Amino acid sequence: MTSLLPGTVPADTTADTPVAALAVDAHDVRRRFGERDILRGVDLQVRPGEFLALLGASGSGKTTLLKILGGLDREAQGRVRVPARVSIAFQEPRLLPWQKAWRNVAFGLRGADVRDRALAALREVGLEHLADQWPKTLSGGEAQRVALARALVRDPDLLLLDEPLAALDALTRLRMQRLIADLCARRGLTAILVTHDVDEAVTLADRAVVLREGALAHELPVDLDRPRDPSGPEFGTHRDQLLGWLGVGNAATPSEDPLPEENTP
Amino acid sequence: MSAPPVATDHPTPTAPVLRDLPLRAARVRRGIPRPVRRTLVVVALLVVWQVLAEVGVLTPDTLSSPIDTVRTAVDMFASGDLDTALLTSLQRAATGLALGVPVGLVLALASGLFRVGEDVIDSPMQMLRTLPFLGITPLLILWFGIGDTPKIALVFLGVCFPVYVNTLVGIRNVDARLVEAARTFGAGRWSVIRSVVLPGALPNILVGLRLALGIAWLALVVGEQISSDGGIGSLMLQAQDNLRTDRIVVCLVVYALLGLLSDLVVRVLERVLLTWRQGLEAS
Repeated sequence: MTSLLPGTVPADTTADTPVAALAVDAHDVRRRFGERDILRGVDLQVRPGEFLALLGASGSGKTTLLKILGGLDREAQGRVRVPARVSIAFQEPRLLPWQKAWRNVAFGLRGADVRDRALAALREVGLEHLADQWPKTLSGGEAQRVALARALVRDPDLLLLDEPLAALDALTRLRMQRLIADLCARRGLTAILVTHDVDEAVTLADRAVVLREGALAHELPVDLDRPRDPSGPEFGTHRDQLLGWLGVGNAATPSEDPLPEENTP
Repeated sequence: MSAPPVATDHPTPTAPVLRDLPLRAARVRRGIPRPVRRTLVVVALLVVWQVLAEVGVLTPDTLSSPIDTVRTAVDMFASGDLDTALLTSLQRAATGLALGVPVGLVLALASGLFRVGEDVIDSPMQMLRTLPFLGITPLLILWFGIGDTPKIALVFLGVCFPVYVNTLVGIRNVDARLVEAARTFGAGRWSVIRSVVLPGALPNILVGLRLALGIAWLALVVGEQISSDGGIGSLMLQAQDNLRTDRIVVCLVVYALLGLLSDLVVRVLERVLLTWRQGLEAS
């Protein structure tokens, strides 16, 4: 139902922005769990085609916000507008172990060409040859790519990524970041990525926001050329800025704290 | 980057004493292979049993010897006693299972999937479950007389509860994150039940089935010893009246084989239905 036209949107998203020009429009989103206010009024607008990184310390409400946007939490207050087709890739692959890889990708799809569509999505993540494998035979990275294919096959107007790379080893994580960057560029996806990893955020995002104490506290546009070089100076400035907001600032100058005592009995 | 601080007051490390870990290749494999060893133990026990009988420690009134038992089994087959009884017992067990398993399954689904179902079904089931079902035998005789019905009823009762309890556990243990993911990708209530909850509960359902098959035979042993109207149990009852320990032992062996066979059936079912669990072994 989103007839959102990419490219016609002004770069700054103010309250005056016409609603139709947004892929996500959330106002004053609040959520409490018992006595704890997890979200205390979040305002978030995302343009079509934008890649947004959502950062924050543990317990800052990142995942809660993502679940609300994904329609998995209807107990929140406020106003949330999202497109009709929203896909989620979770931190764990969450594949059904009793269905082969391609059936997991095709889950919930209808029509005669379901297998072809699933295979095409698997080809996009480079796993067409594993289509007939059981999920338990896949490695962590492969399973996560199948999960990504499952999210993509629905042709989502909004892709929600809930730390999908957090559980992967460092090398696989780098490959997956490249894959996600490619896919988003190729398909012009609108995506929101929840992550702890500042480098990942700067690598992938057009804009990074930091959630603190239940509200969006900081915002950083990332206007670097792609593909991005983590060793570049501008990359470093962005990284430091985000780390500072997250309370682990000044990583450029390593701390001179003495190493913890080793060899002590 | 600063160089690591130079150790000044750390103690100099002393070399620990190393020992050899006994690795597989280094271990000398000797003695008899395990399958042979296991079979040998069984054979040895049978030989001891036979010898005790020959020497006269075990009289035929106490326990017939293995050789006598085999001879009796052949006779019982030849006379048709055994196959008739076996058929009767099998029919009763099958009928009881065919009624008890679906009922346990349906009750567990109703209880596990719907809140109303849980409120109405679960507490009565949990209360009845604590009743030792074999203790109901006298009531069943009063209600149904001494034909097939009380035996089938006993199997039904014995089978229903393990299927119910295990299916319910299976449904409760289905990964909520999978259900959430399925919902995200557009699955409705029935689709979630069909493609997430039921397959997720299947391993537990099969555990329930395996227990049920074992209990079915147990229920039948008790049920058929009520009266002499067919079945392996009543064959044993007759043998007891005639002091024929050989016939009793034959019946016991038949029961054991039936139990073994039931287990095999469930194993095959598991292999067919749970291929996804063996994915790692297969590849």
